[in-house]
Amino acid sequence: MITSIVIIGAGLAGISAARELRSEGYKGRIHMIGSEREKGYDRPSLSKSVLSGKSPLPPPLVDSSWYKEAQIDLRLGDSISEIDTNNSTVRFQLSDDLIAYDRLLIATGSNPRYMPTEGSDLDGVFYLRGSSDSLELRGVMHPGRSLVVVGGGLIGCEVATTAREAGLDVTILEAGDELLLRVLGREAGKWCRTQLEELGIKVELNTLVSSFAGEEYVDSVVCSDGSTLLCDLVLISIGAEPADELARNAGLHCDRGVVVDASGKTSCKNVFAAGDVASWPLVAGGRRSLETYINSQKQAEIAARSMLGSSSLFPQIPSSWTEIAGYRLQMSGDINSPGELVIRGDWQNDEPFLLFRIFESRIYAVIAINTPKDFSLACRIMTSGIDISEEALKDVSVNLRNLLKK
Amino acid sequence: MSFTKVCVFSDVPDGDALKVEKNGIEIAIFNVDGDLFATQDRCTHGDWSLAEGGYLEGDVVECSLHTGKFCVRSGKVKAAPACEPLKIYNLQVEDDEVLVDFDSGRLST
Repeated sequence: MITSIVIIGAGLAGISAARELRSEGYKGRIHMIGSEREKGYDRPSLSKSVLSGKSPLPPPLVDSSWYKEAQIDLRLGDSISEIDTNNSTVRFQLSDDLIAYDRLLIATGSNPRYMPTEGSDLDGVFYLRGSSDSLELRGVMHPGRSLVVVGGGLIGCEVATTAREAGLDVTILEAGDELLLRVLGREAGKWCRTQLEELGIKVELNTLVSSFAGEEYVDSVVCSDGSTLLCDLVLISIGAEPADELARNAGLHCDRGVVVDASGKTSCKNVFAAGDVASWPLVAGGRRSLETYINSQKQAEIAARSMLGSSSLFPQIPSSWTEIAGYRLQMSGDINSPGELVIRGDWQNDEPFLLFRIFESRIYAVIAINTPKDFSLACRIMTSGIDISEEALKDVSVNLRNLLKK
Repeated sequence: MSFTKVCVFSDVPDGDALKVEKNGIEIAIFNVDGDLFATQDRCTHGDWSLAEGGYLEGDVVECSLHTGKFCVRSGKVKAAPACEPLKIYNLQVEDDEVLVDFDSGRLST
């Protein structure tokens, strides 16, 4: 009989799991431990509406009354220092208390990848992970100031957009030869770069940073080619690392994240993981930490049911969205997988469009720009696995809904 | 109570949705097997249009942003992360015309 479930992490994955446990009828205790002081909040807003000031604070993930209604034993501002898998207990960092678990969920998320470069500890050099990071950056993002964004991935491009719209002079430095390569692929990455440049953002590709300079406060970025870029602020956004140290110390099998099966089970009995910290199997093969809202939420729900005894397997299709240069992009699947790239719509003329990756008549990935309805339909076509012709996809006079009906 | 003509029936094909707006009030009209229903267009969870960014299956619409689900007949939540229901609106069909009362927004009981 399961009477005590411990969830390490009080963010999206932790809360989604707890909610699923209750909706599945689990009546025992749920201990939830979050290292941040705030109750779980919407993290994607940190680079967008919170940073712009449109939202004073990130929206909460659930009403604060929910924790009581769902009878969650919530402990915030503390963390777990040790998992003892032999005795099925966890130890608190601050109080040294022990709690016993029947099932344990590790949902500790991820941390920004740190850049050990000289000067990265100067004032004015920011990372973006928690709400305090966003509020601090917002507080110094005055119009006319200059911001250098190191790393042209999703966070970097989102922050660059927000800062530019707030009237800052923005430059993105990207080590690769295109922006957003990993999540959007070369074509959509290039399209985004064009939109960002039209917004007045400068983009430098193939550019490595060798140091940050300044007395106490950063005043310039030195690139590896010797050039120097004056600036008032720096954001380092070069990716994330799963927060799997606790799991590694407990002897769980980890490989850039806690290795789980497609039900969330780790290498250790009664221990599960979900969200950014989990290296979860993919539909397309392989496994990794997905770092997306939608997948974290799904994985947490799957892991919750798995903790209660379900053994169904749900490999994932990476799915996310972003707002860049005033455009809403939604993506699903790996656009960098093999196959043909098919474009639906007139993408040179500011019209909504979709990009597909097609292999042997099946869709393996889709990116939708300002066309959420077609995105929903395209995702259905993709997951249904029906055969589709390139011509039909390209023909905008054919409603995607009709392709799905076939 | 005042109904305003918003579209004709054929503007909302079966299984599809249409966003209409009056004085800043945005409403989604859904066609469920030939019956029309009107709800608020904004998802209660994220800033997202359900008519333009949702997927209707039977009488349940799934928001494509965070995959929350709502019943379009009642506005009730069918799947997390949404927890607040949608407002529903009175809708009439006269001949081929679709009319909505923009002042009738309410939560179903």
